[in-house]
Order: sequence, then C-alpha cells, then structure tokens
Amino acid sequence: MGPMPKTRVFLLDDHEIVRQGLRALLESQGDIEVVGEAGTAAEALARIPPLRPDVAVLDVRLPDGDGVQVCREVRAAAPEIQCLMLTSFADDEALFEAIMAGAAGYVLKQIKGTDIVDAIRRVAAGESLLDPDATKRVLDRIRNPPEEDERLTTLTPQERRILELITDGLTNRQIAEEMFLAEKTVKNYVSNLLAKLSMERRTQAAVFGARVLKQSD
Amino acid sequence: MSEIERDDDGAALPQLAAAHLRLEDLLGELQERAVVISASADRLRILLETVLAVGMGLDLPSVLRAIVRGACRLVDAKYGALGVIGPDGHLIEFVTIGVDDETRARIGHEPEGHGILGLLIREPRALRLANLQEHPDSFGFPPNHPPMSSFLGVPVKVRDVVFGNLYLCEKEGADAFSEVDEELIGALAVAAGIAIENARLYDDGQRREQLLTAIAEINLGLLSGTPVVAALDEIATRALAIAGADSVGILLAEPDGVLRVSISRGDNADEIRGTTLPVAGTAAGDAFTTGRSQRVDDPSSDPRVRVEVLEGSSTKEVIYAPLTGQDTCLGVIRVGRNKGRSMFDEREIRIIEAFARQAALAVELARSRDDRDLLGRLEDRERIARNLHDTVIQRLFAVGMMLQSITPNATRDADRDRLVRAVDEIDETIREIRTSIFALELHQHSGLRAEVHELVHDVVDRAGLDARITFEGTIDAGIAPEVVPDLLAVLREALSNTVRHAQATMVDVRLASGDDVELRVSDDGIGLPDDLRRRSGLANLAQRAEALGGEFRVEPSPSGGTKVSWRVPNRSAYQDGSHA
Repeated sequence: MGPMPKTRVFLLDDHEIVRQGLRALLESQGDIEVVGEAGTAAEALARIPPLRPDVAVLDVRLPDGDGVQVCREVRAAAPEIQCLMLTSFADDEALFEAIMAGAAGYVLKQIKGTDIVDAIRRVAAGESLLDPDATKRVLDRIRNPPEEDERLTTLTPQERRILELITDGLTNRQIAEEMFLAEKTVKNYVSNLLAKLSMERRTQAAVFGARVLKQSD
Repeated sequence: MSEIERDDDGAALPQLAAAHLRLEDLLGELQERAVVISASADRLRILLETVLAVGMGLDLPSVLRAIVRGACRLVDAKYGALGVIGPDGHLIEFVTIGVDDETRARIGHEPEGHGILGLLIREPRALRLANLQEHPDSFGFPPNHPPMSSFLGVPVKVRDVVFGNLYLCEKEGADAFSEVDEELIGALAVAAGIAIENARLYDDGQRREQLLTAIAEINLGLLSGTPVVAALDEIATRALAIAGADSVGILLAEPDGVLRVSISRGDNADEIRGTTLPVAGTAAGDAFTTGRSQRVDDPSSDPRVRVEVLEGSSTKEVIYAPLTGQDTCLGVIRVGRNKGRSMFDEREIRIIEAFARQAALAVELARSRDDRDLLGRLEDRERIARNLHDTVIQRLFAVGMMLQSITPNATRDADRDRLVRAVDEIDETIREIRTSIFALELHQHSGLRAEVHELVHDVVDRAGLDARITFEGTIDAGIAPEVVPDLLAVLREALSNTVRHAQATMVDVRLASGDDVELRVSDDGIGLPDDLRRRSGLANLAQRAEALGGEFRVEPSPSGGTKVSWRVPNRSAYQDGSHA
C-alpha cells in the first residue's frame, strides 16, 4: 500500500504574509499540500478550476471583490471543490458569509481555537462544519427580517431613495437637485418619511439609514 | 384665544412714508376751519402753538400728554383725557390732565369705555353736553370722582381709523363748551392724529432698526459657533426688550411629544424654566401643530394656558409664535405682557414672529452641526474599524501563524512554552480587536451582541468603570432564543452588583456559545457582601439555571474581586441532537 494521497489545498488571501504563514503551517502537517495561491479574486477564479484542489481556503475580503462571490463561482464550475471561508470578522458575520457563499465551513483568523488543519481535513472528507441550528436561525432571519427592517418596507421607493440621500448627508436642496424635484416637494417627502419612521429629526433618520440600508445592501 | 390672521406674506412694518403728505391736508383743514370759526386771533395762536408742540414730539406717551395738555389750554377745560381704544373696542390707555395722582388712586380703576365714553367709541363724532350726567347714556361717576358737568368729546383718527377719543370736562368761566371750542378741538384732533402716526412710525423705525441689529448680532454669533442655548437666551432677551414684553419663553419640542420651556426671561423666569406642557389641549401646542401664531388675552381663566403662566401672575396677554424649521416645527416662542399695559399690536406680533424664525434658525443650525458631527464620528469609526480589520488583524494573524509553525522546532521546553504563550496573547489580542470593530460599528448592528454591548455600556459607563467584552462562537445566530432572557437577566444583575458593591475599576464580560452558553462576569473589586448571594433575584436565577441542567455561581475570583459564572445548555441545540 502506497502513501495516502495528500489533501490538495488552494489559498486565496490578499496578504502575502498570511499566505506564507498558512502555507508553512499546513505543509508542516505532512498530509496537506498547498497546490496554488492567489492574492486577488480574479487570479483565484483563473487558477482554481484547472488546478482542481480538494479544498479552497478563501479570504472573505479582497481588493477586487469578495471571497463569497469567488466561492459561488468555483462551486458552480466545479461542485466537487470544497470551500472554507477564511475571515477576520466575528463568528456571526463569518457564518452568514459562509452560508451565502455555499461554503462547507469557515475558519476565523485566529491561531488557536479554530484549528484550520482539522477544518481542512474534515471538509476534504465531505463534512459540513456549519452548525445546523445556527444556520437555520440565520436563514430564518434572512426570511423574516427584524422589526427595524420592516419600518423600511413602509417607505415608498421614492422615500427610500430620499432616506439614502439623507444618510449621505445631503440637504433638501441637494436632494431636490439630485432627484429633479422641487425643494418643497422634498420637504414634504422628508416630513412624511420622518412621520412613518416615528422620528423627529434628520439625524435619527440618517443613523437609522446608515444601519438598515447598509445591512440590506 | 384666537389664531392671528395673516392676509399678506408677513412682509414689513408700515412704511415710513406719506406722513409728511398729510401735513398739507392738515393745513387745508385748519384754513377751512379758521374761516368758518370766528375765533379770536389769540386762541388761533394757542391752537397753532399746540399743533407745533404736539407735532414735534416723537415719543408716543409724551405726544399723548402734549395733546391733552394743549386741548385743555385751548378751550379752558379743567379736566382733559385721551382714551386709546384697543382691538376689542375697550379703552386700553387713559391719559389724563387735571386729576392728580391721589384723586386718581381714590377713584380706583380707570374707565374702560362704558357710558358716555362708550357712546363716543360706538359713534365716533363730536359730542358736546352742558351736563354730562343728564345724558340718557350716562352711567354716573364712581365714588370719589370729582364732579364734572360740561363735556366735550372728539374722536382722534389715525389714517381714517379711530385711535381714541379726546375728552374735555368743566369749561372754566362758562357753563358749557361753545361751538367754537368744538371747532378748535376738532382741528387739534386732526393734528393729534398725524402726530400720533408720526410717533408710531418713528417707533416702528426704531424697533425695526433694533430688530435688524439684534438679528444680525445673533446670526454672527451663530456663525461663529455660539452654543444654541446662549443664542436662544440672547433671542429671548432681545425679544423681551424689542417687543416690549414682560416675559419671554422659548419652548422646544421633546421626543416624547411635550414642549419644554428651555429658555425663560422676564417675570417668573426661574419658576417657569424647565417646566413641560403637552401639545394637546394647549395654546402653545396649537401654535406648534398649526404653524400659526396664537393669542390668549385672558390667560388666568383660559385652560389652554398651563403651567407656563403661574397662578397669581400678572400676565394679561400671551402670544405664541411657532418655531418653524426646515422639516418640522421645532417649538414655540411665548411672549407675555402684564396687566395695565396695552395689548400687543400687529407690529409687535410681527417682531415676535421674526424672533421665532430666528430661534428656529438657531436650533436648526445647532442640530445640523450636531448631525454633521455625529455622521462624521460614525464615518471615522467605520474607517478605523476597516483599518483594524484589513491591516492589523491580518498582520497579527500572520505573525501568530509563523510563531505557531516554528514552535515544534524549538528544542528547549522553556522556548516552546514562551512561543505558546506568545501565540495565546496574539489570539487574545485578535479577539479583543474583533470586539472593538464590532463596538465601532455598533450602530449598524442589531441582535444579541449589540444588546449585550448596549446593556454593559449602559450600566458601566454611568458608573465610570471600564468594560471589556469578548464573544466566542456565533452569538446572534448561535444562542438559542429560549436562553436569552435569563442570560440578559444574569448579566444585568451581575453588572449592577459590581457597580453598587464591588468598588471595582473594570469589568470583564465574556460570552461563549457552543453546546453550552456560558457567561462570565468578573471584576477587580473588593468582593460582594455575603448576604447578596442569597438574594432572591440571584437565587431565582440560580434555580432556573439548575433546572435547565446548568449552573450559576458567584464566587471570589482568584485575582481578587468577584467572578459570576452562568452556564446553561444551548437548549435547542441540545434538544434536537443534530449538533456534533
């Protein structure tokens, strides 16, 4: 019986120092081989499918895109490639991204605690690392957004656009110019919008906008 | 109470024009009358002198006195008076000659315009009587009133509107006033009307200048960063002087739907300041919701005027003008005048409204400054968070991995231990940075982590303690919703005990989610009193934790201080058994 075939891994991270560290750690294990690396989403998309690694470790935030999109495209082209999202956000954000990406799991950028070597081995063996309860709650939340987002749904598309512009710090006059409306019309829209959100002031709307508009983007 | 009508765009105080044109009318009139009357040259000279004296005055009260004094001299009357008619048809001012202060005090109140005085108000034309008391409209005199019998009354008009009446009594040296007297007083009344108008225009001009100066100064202050409270205080002070008020308040709308007296000047200023009144059912609220000025002319009996007019205060009239902002009404300016003074006239109400606009501007400017500051701070926070995430964590992670990969190569045990400790430190640092990133972007988050942050900072910040918060595992999605209420109750209880009893300087909160949910709250204080641990709130939480198969302990921490640890199964994960 010959030696066990090594698990073939591809690394995507825009920090070279991170790739070096990961490569050193993984290759010191003996049963893992790093077959390729990339620093951008475009490079990764060009290299991963022909290399056919067992596991692709993908950083979430990239200068030219994000790991979530890379994962989706890789999985669409070659569903047998398992993806692990690598992230420096907290667990909750990481879980959300992994679910959105269709990845088998996520690893936090943390040296202990999350054992990346173990995670790669398990994912390569076809296991999903995503906790089913937590996944279910995330999906429920996406389907039933919290109350605050519901307030957003009471706004008309026009009012929603105005909320975006208020959030960007525009005055009524600037909003009027942006939307080709009379300033007085904008003023009416703003009053309605504040009433619908039960708010008194523009800042409250701007802070609310900063929260919910960014979340739902 | 009434809404104050506006039939124009609120443009301007009356123009300082056309006054001099009326002088020609006057001369014509005097000439005509001089021809008709066969008055002696001597009396015509007195008329001319009086007209000149009256015409030279610019201050309204002294003009009115000059008119009455001149009239008495012109027709040899013992008593003379000029009654000014208010908007409601009653006399609001009564300028007298011939009645000394002592007598005046003995009579008591001033006439309001009943009886013969009322007749002249209703029918503004000259009235000459030999005996006042015999007229059917006569009301008789109040006690202590000096006897008066012969009477001559003439209306004084300003721009064809009756301003008031000139009353003369007790012709000296004759039983009654003559036709010539009536003609002379009629002529004087015309000159008086013009003099009054001039004095008013002069007063308008003065006030307009004061108003413009005040507004320019206030704006300059606002632009150079005067705090909003100081700007509003200045507005109230100036409004008090320029609108001729006895009290001024600026009421700002609060988020919970009340109007709060933020600024208060003049009578009872200190008692009124800080009080609140509802929008519904108050005159101030009406000005606030309708955006139109309101007048209350009997505040002591009007239920729509609340706390802001104190019981027993001498306020007779209140004007409320809205502080109309860009998007919403911001509040109301309230201007009061005391008993014994004339009512606010149209021009004064316009001045009040000008100050209301100014106050609205000051508030909006301050708020938009706050808005910009807040949004700027949020942007800064997001930028710092991005930087921590994109640079700092990546580098720490890479360094940590390098150390990790060389650890097995270290030949000496001591070196290996040090490398392991270094990696642990780096991991802990990364975790803390992640919490900081979350805190920096807190305004974008909702969910349990945000709730924990808010709760911790709510309790701890007020007590001046430092807090460290760490999360492990998925919290928002990873913790079963069933355990959340107990979790927050334990956290709140632990934090408030620390704040109240521990004399600590820092609190460490750690929440971990996995098969169990684990909360640890530790502080560096002096420990908790023994009896506290048996308190019902804590005991109850301990029982619930045990019932769920978990535990709840309050114990001294090894490093001093107190450690609260609470652990329960992450229930839904526990129940369905699918969790590895």
